[in-house]
Amino acid sequence: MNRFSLSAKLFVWIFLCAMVPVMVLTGFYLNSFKDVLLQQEQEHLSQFADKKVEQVEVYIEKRISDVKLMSQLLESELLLNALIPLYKNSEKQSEEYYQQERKYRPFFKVFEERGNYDVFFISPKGEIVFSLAHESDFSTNIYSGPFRKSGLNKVAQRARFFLEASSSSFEYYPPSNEAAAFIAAPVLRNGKLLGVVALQVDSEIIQKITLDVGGSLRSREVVVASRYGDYFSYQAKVRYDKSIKVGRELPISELPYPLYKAISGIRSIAVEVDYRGVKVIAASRFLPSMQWGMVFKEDYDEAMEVFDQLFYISILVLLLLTVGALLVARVLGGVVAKPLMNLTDVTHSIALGNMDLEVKMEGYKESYELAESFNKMSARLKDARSNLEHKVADRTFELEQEMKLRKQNEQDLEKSYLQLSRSMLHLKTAQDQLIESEKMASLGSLVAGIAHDINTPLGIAITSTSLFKDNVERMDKALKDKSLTTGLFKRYLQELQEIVSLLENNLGQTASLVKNFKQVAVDQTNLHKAKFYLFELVESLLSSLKPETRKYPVKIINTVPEDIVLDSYSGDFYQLLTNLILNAMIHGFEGRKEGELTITAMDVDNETILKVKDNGIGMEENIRRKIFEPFYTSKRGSGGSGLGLSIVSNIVKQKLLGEIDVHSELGKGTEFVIRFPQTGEQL
Amino acid sequence: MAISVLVSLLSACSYSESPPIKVGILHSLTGTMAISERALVDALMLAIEEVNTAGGVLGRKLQPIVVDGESNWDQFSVRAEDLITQHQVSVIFGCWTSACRKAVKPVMEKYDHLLFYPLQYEGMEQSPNIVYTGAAPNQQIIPSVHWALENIGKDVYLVGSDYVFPRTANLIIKDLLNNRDIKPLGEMYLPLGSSDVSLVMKDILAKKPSLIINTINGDSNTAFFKALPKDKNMVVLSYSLAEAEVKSIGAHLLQGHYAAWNYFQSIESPENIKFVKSFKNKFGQHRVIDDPMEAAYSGVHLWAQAVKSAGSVVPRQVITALGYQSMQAPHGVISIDKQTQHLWKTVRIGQVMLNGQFEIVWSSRTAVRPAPFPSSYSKQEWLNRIEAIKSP
Repeated sequence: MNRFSLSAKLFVWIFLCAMVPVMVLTGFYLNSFKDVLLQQEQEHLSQFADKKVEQVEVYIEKRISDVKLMSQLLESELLLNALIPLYKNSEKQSEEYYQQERKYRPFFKVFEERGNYDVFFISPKGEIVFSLAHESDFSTNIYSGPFRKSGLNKVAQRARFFLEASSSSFEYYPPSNEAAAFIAAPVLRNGKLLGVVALQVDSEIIQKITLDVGGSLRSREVVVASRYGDYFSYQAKVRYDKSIKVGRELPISELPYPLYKAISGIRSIAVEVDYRGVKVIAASRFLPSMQWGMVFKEDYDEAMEVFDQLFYISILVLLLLTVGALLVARVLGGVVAKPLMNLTDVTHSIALGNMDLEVKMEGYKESYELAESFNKMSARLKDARSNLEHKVADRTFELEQEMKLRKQNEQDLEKSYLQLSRSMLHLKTAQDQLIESEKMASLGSLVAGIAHDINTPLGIAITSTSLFKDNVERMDKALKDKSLTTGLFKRYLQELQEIVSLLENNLGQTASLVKNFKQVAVDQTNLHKAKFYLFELVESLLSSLKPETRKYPVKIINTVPEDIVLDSYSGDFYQLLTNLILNAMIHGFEGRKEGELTITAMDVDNETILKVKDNGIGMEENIRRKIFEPFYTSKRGSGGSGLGLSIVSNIVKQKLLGEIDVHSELGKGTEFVIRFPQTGEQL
Repeated sequence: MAISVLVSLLSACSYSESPPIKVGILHSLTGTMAISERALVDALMLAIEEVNTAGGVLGRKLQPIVVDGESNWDQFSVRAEDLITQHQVSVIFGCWTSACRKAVKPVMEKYDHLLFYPLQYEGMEQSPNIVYTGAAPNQQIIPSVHWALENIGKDVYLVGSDYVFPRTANLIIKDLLNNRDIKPLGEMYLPLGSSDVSLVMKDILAKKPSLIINTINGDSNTAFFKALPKDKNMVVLSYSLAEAEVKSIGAHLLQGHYAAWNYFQSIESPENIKFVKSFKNKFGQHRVIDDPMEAAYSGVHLWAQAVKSAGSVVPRQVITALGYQSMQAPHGVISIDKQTQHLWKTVRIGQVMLNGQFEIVWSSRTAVRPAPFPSSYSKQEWLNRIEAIKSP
């Protein structure tokens, strides 16, 4: 079972509910803070960069103004007019020249003090006729001399031909042995060029301007460069790479991207990589006066130092909070868990069967109540346990008893079932015997009836025979007596004829009786299937039963159609009809002086319906329902076996595969209806 | 989490709801100037589309409002006021002629608004409410005259249309000639729109100048060049004749002559190749691009850049932010000179080729500081001199 302690769970919950939101929010705020800080820094830097551009532009504009001012001063005109005629194309000038020069020098010295390195006056032919610094450029021809490739030449030419003041960018200038930029303006009188006045801009001043970066960040730096085709050069010293010389041409491929953008005129503020390969926030600007690119930059890491500090502080605070959450969880967990742990110990003991321990009641309200309840519970548990043991023993005993009893019962049941099935077997045998004996009994009564009937004609025949013998003896005596007369003979003869006739009648009757009986007796025991006319069967049966039926005042009518042929067991029909007829005679007409019994039959749809109907006294419903039950009889005392109708029912159902029904109405009569298949195969 | 979702939702809402910035375009869509000015409208539309494709400015798209000045200066003035008061545009890009600019200038100053004027002009003007993106005289005329005198010849004939630009230009040119002790062989002016060049041509043929400095504007140029005999020793340097005019006059008539501009379509910088391609893709491969179109196009980008810097579209604040803006325009690096509100521009001289394009024969290499008032005279002297030539 992977279960954590309460303290661990509490920690997780405190962590999830408090720490995670705090962390997420902190992350979110830190992130927005970082964005805001960076944006702010960038805006800041942009503003500084714009200011720096303005500073440089204003500086150059001021220098241009200086030059323009100089160009319009009367002193410039006078200087040029004075010096050009005195000027000689050599290093050494005439005394006259120096006299004149000294006159003007203090006046133009003022401009040198305003941040200009040198002041030149150049004749229309290109001769530098005046220089404050008097470096090696003095007295050379700037259009054709050794320094004709310098910026001074460019600005002087522009002044000469375009009559326009202009500035050059910083390039290495050999006479000063440093980078120099020049600004020149034409000195005109009535639209005619008297000469050109030029200033050499103090590169230190530019350096100062670029070094004045403002703000508190140490890494802030201004880098300026200009481009010439596929080359570029730094225009002021860079802070971090002393090997970079101002004005030295470098291939364009070495240009750092922010500076490249600046030189290309693209204004931008972005996080980029500078010439050292350090990540910086860089503002790229273009300085039109100098045609320089300027990058105002500061190290990203330093700019974002505040963020880093805040980040580390946040991490520290979060860590402390996490530790705090752990401690709180531990203490809280301990306070909550201690009573529970006691409880657990006691529960363990109880589980091991030691019921006598009690939980110490301590801690806070809930734990106190819990301990109290637990103690109550364990006490009741103890009671209940001992009670239960008793109850279980009692119940077990009872169950065992019941089990025994049930087993006995089962055995008994089995025994009685065996006996029952044996009785059933006996009963069946007895039933079969009974049926057989009943058959014989009815045959016996038939024989008795027949014997009685034969007795009468036979008696008459015997009497007639003795009469015949008397007559014959009397005739013989008469013959021997010769007393025989014709008349006498004739009388004797007549008497003999009468006797013979009587004999004939009575013997014929006897023969007929015997013949019928024989038929019935034979048929009744006939087990073979054969075709017979139903009508004839009924007729011969009625004739055989006559000795019996005569006893009752009932007219028996056979209305069976003569053409019904059955292919069946005639003996069965004899028996069932005998039983039905005799049953009707014996029971159906009690107390009646006359009655009718009709036997009829019909073929309906492959079925033959045989009806035996009387108009006797009928029977009650409760009797009617029982008449097919074996051994039921209303004449038990008068010798009825109670099997007659049961046999009928058996024959119909089992041998003819038919049905038997009985309708009866008290006082009106009874009708038996038997249906059976005409050609039904019998089993 | 919920807060961040809320914040992002709010910011999303504020972005999607920000209305476009209306930008006025004031050029002649009808009248005699329409043929030239319509091309400027196309260039402006391309620039506006580019700014919008790049996300607009301050999270808002630019919506151009184009109105027709009908080649009528009074109409320009009325329309400019409409744009400012009714349409509430943040800036107007417009005008071709100096007369038009001078008509619109009081309106701009009245509302302290901002107009970007894209044509090269005679200078002698400096309005705090106009940014001049075309060349000042020292960025076109002065260097090219020097070049022509050095490279073509010193027998100079001045011919121009009779209005303020040619007259002022010639004033400056004559100063330059005077400085070199050159007297022009002749100086003639044609009435604006006139095609009767017979008098001028007769004079020229009589004096046989080696260098004709041409400040003729409009249709008169066609007549002038048709009448000018093909003579290797008589070369024309023109100041109002760019690719569009070469196309309409016929390159065969102009072949070998020169023009001075800041921009030629034939400049082979990556920026220009991209610009030409974008323009032709949008308006048709047969179209040509010239200097005023490039100046108009660059003006839109400079303005958008200044709006970003200012964080506002209010003209006064944008004007303040415009100082020292720079960019890589198709013709080179351009920057706005804060003092004059003109551009630092590179000067070029081109020779007409048979295909109608210019072969660049000279370039100032770097951008030239704009000097609307050439420093040979003071501002007041210049204004007096201009007054003098207006009422001789």
